[in-house]
Amino acid sequence: MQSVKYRKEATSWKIEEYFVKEEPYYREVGNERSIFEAAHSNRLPIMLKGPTGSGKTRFVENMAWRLKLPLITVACHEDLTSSDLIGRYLLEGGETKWSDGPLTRAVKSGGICYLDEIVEARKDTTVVIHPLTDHRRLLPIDKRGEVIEAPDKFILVISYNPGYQSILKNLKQSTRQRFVCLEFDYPPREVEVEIVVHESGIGEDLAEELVKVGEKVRNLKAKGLEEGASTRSLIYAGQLIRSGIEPRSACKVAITNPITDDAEMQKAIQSVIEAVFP
Amino acid sequence: MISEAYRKRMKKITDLPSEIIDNVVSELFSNKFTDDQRNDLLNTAIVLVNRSATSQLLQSSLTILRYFPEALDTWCNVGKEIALTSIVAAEEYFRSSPDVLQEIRKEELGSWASLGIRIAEKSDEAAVEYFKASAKLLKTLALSDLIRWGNEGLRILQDGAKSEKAAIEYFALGTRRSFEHAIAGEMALLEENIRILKLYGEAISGREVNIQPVVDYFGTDGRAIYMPVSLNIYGEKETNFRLYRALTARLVGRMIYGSFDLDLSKVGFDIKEVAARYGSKLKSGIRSTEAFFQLYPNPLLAMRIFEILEDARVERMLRKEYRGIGEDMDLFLNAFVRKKGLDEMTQIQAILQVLLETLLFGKMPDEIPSQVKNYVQECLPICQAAGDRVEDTALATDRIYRILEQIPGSRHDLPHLPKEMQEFAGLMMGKIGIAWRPSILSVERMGNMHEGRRRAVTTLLRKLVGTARKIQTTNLLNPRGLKPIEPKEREEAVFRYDEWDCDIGDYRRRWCSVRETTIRPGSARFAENVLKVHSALIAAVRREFQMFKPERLKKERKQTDGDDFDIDAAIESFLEVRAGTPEIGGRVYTRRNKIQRDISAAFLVDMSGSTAGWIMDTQKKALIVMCEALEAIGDRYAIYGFSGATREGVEFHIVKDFEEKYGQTVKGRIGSMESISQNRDGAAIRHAAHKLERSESKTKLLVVISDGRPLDMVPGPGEPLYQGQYSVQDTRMALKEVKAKGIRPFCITVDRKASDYISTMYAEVNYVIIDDVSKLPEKMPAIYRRLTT
Repeated sequence: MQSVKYRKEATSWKIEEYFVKEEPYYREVGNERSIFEAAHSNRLPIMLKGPTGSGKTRFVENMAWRLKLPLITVACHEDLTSSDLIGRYLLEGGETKWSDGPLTRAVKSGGICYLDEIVEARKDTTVVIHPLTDHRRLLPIDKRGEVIEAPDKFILVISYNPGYQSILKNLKQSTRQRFVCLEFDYPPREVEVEIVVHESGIGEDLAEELVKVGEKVRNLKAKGLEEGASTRSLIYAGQLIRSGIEPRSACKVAITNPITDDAEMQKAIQSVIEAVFP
Repeated sequence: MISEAYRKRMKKITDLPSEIIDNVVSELFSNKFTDDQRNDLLNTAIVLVNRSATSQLLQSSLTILRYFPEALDTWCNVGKEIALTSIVAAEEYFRSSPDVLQEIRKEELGSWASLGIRIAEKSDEAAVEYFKASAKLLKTLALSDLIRWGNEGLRILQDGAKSEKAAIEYFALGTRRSFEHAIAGEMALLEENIRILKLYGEAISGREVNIQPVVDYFGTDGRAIYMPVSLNIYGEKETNFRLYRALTARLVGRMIYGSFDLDLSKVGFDIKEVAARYGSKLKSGIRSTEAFFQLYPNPLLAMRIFEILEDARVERMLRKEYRGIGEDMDLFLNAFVRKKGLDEMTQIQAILQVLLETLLFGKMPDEIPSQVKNYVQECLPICQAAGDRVEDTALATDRIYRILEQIPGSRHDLPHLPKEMQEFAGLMMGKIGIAWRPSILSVERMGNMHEGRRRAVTTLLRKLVGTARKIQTTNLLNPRGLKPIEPKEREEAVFRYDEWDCDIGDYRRRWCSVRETTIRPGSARFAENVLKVHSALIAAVRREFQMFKPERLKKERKQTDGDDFDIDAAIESFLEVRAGTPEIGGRVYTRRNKIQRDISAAFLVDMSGSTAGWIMDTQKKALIVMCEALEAIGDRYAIYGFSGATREGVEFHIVKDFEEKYGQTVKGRIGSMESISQNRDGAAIRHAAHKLERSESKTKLLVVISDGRPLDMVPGPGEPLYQGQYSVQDTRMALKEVKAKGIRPFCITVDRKASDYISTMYAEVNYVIIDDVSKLPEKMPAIYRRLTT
């Protein structure tokens, strides 16, 4: 029932052979599934926009399972270069050998390439995806003098967290407008309760109280909290509670501590938690 | 003994200068003192034997003789007793006791000193420090707190081998622990917790919460909540904090559950019938609790009943919604203290008191006079049957009023209301016309505050409130309070801008005139002072910003990828391959971190009258710190201020333009920035954008620093006043226009009242509210750094 996978051992896969085997739980809020499917069949790339812990990655996994495509995820960061995405020559045993990067492998295998937090990467890296995201759907590999035509099944998905951002780190219009954009946010109360129940295994009453905590903490956004409490943190709290941890304590480590280092803010949040849970 | 002989004897036993001795003698021989007393003093002096102690005794005696003559006997006896154990301690006692006597009564001298004697039994030096520190501490502590502090030090002293040194340091207030322990004990201070309580209130209510300190009651008027400056009911600081938390929830609860949103049309309340019953004037409808109370012949009685019921309702709703809040609420209940006996109250007062207690504790108190009991039993079912809305409370109030009005004296018998509350009542209800004044129940509830603390705090509070009031009243509604707009050096061009009128849904074309002027620079002293006082902060900020300066970024070698070849690494790798030991592998590139900075930032500062005083000062300080940071990182920046009155007179002050260097002139200008007249934000923002868009940087940032509402209350004939929704919407529009020009706006507001208009005005842009103005100098660079790196 829960989406936490229980694995006894570690297994390694080639990235383009990594398929999502079981359906990852995802509770649809609007019509995001049909939009994804429609975009995919029209060979359009997709942008997922929303705060952390709002279900973006889980959604992509779910779609990967539904469409039976390999899922290749790249966590973007400031030092990510275009070679990290496309590939490079490596020295192996006295010879140079070309090694495909994750983006190339996704294109070649016709899977989903998911660039997570793309705004963290440098602009000269981001433009690499431009030819893939318009009608051409081409991936040029300059160092090899090749160009790869993407198969129909390939789709590029990026995620983006707007908000109190650096003005230097933003998505240019020329990049943004190439994508169909799905907006994610904290789900409405009943839906969030459902999700917390399912993912953490606790009862509905407790889940409602956790969701109430989440709501109240989200009121503090812009009063000093950069982000409100994510659904994910509520789920973590629920999981800890299910394992026998006292609710106040579970919430402290899953919600209060991660969300802020400001001692006064922590005390205020913990006060809300103490009001909700005896 | 006659004075001459006295003087001679004194001269023999001490080295004090003649002048002092003369003064002592003349004071002694004025008619205030008996011969016995004079002899007593002399004997005390002689008995001390030690010359230094004797001199100190006589020197201090002057103050005692002059200002505390009735304490003379006690003072001498206590001194003698101390001297039996330790002469040096006695000397210090004599020296510090005049100051101490200003804070304590002469009867308390004994207990203060006897603790000192017990300390002296273990350590002379520690006792000396104890006496010395007492004078300072008693200014803010009550004696009982001081004794507690002293006992803690005594405990350290008795602790073991190395303890004497630790104890001496403790008493000398050398250790932090001693200081904190002395100053606050287990008391919780509102000031230390106000931010936490505010955030808590905002989290549970979802709206802005404004907390104001008062001396010894608590309540709310629907806009702010008022709580006591300190709470010391429980023996632990954390518990006292939780009591604050309980108060916060109870008061904020009134806003959450609609205590101030009375709308009697929602229930079947026949207002006309009530009005007819009492012959009261009926205004168009009852939309406020104030109007509701005015229906009754004794509005205060109605208000008191309403408040008791409403308090119970809010608590009930809170406990229902928050399963865990019961603990805090119980702390509140346990702090309840009935300050007057039931037999000291009038009948109505007693009934109300018992009703209150019954609703609070869930059962009737013991030993109630039977008449009172009967009435309460009649009222109880009504209370218990009341529904969950505030309108239900009004209904129940009406029914209970009808029961109680049968009691003789009910028309005139005001509920028990302490004098200061009566004044407050008049102020709140009359002038501002808001719902109802703070809960008067509270005065009875708070346990005893330590007298000394109370005094100190009251003085402090009066000062603070006085300052705050002063600032609020130099407000813009009175044009005579404005400074005249003085001509500045070098007046420049005038620019015209549109203004958005939300009522007509369109722009008023070329409505505002913005006059650009340059501030006449004063001396650079202000700036230099800031640099000195905040040197640590500035040094830290400079270091941090320098790290982001592009030239400081290094070239990295041996990279797997990069702009250019690292020839050395390439050669090495070839050699390695030949030798069969490939280590470098493919890492043969160099890379330079290509973070380019091409930023122009304009800072726009509100210079209107509302910033007068410490807000403006703090803004100026923050600007100096910001300049230092910007110089370190090398971005292009400009600083502008705005003020003015009327749409023709918007003033745009240039403190530093983009091309200007940050030198003595600019520092001088920052120093001379003053608060003048009003603020028409929209026009100023548009002009700042106009200046920014001419820069050629890739990234343009406009930081607006304001302290509150856009307000220009000096009207032209027939024109809309720049206030309320009008000004908020125009400012919002101006910010939108700025964004459309490719400039990124960011708003920093230091509005301590934190009102709802902020989220409307800044709906399109990013903003931050800084509660504590004094933090502006450290927060501004941090914000800038976050925005631009």
